[in-house]
Amino acid sequence: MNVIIAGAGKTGSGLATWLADNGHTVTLIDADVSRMERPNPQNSESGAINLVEGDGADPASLETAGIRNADVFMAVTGSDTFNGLAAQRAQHEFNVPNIFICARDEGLRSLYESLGIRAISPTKLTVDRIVAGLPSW
Amino acid sequence: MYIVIAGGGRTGESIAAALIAGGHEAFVVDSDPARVASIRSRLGSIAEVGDIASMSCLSNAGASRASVVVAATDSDEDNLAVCQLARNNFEVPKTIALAHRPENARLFEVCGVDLVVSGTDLIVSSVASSLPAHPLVDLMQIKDRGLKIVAVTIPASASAAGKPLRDVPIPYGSNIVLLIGETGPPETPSQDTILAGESLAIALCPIDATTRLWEALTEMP
Repeated sequence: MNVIIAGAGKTGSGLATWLADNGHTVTLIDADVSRMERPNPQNSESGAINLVEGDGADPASLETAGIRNADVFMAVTGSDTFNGLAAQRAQHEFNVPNIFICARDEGLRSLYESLGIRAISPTKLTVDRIVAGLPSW
Repeated sequence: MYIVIAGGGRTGESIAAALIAGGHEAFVVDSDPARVASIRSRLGSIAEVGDIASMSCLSNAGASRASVVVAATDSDEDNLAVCQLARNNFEVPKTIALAHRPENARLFEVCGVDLVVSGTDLIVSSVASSLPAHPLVDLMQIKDRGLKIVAVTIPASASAAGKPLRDVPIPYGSNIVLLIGETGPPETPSQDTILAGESLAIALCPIDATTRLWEALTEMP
């Protein structure tokens, strides 16, 4: 699979490492390459991780990253609305079939879900996990 | 009308001032307390501090009773999110967004924003219209009718120059609504009006026919 990830923070780097270890080709886009937590693929079977310095919502950077051949696009920067804009560009201008984003605000998360984007809230996941782990009383 | 404005910078504040002067009710939200204080000192208690790209903030601003939401923050991504939240969750009938980056203007339209104002495109149009070339200048889009209002200067050497309007093959569905000559008053042309060279034609034209209109008016013999 060909995966493009906008945002090379902890989430982006972690996803890239896992995907590369599982044989997928990954391209990370971030404005500041030096800020990237450069992932280290573990096994020799792993796919490549390419780094593109740029803006993950900018059409030119997305083209450089090879978005026209992407099977999956993920936008996991710290800004919900940036992730939403990048995802809608991938959806409408590049017809990427699978799109995932991080959206911490619940209103925005459900908005993006209603627009056909898989939007995941780290906050909601944490809350759900803790609630599920509470002793019943 | 009640209008919610996201972003209290120069643009947001000027829009609010113009709306209030026109007898409307406007409310501005900005994340910067200094901007909010400045608007309050000039226009009264019509501004609040908040993160507008969120349900709670739009709700507090009264988005559910707004006729229009104008997204004029400094951030294109926030402007898109504000319009989409307003449309999808508060059923605001009209959303208007400022797009600072020209590549976002078209995307905003695809994403359902009713009116997209692109700062760069406005400057380009305004410069292009004052150059001695003969470009097609986009003046306004009437999106729900599929029409555009455009301006074209007819070159003196064009086939169309000196001919009556009926002999110029303008595309079906387009209308030259105003002809502004180099001298004399602007006129609404009839089929018999002669298109003088170097006059400016203001036309209402289907969006997909603007290139053909421009060719009909500027093509050399």
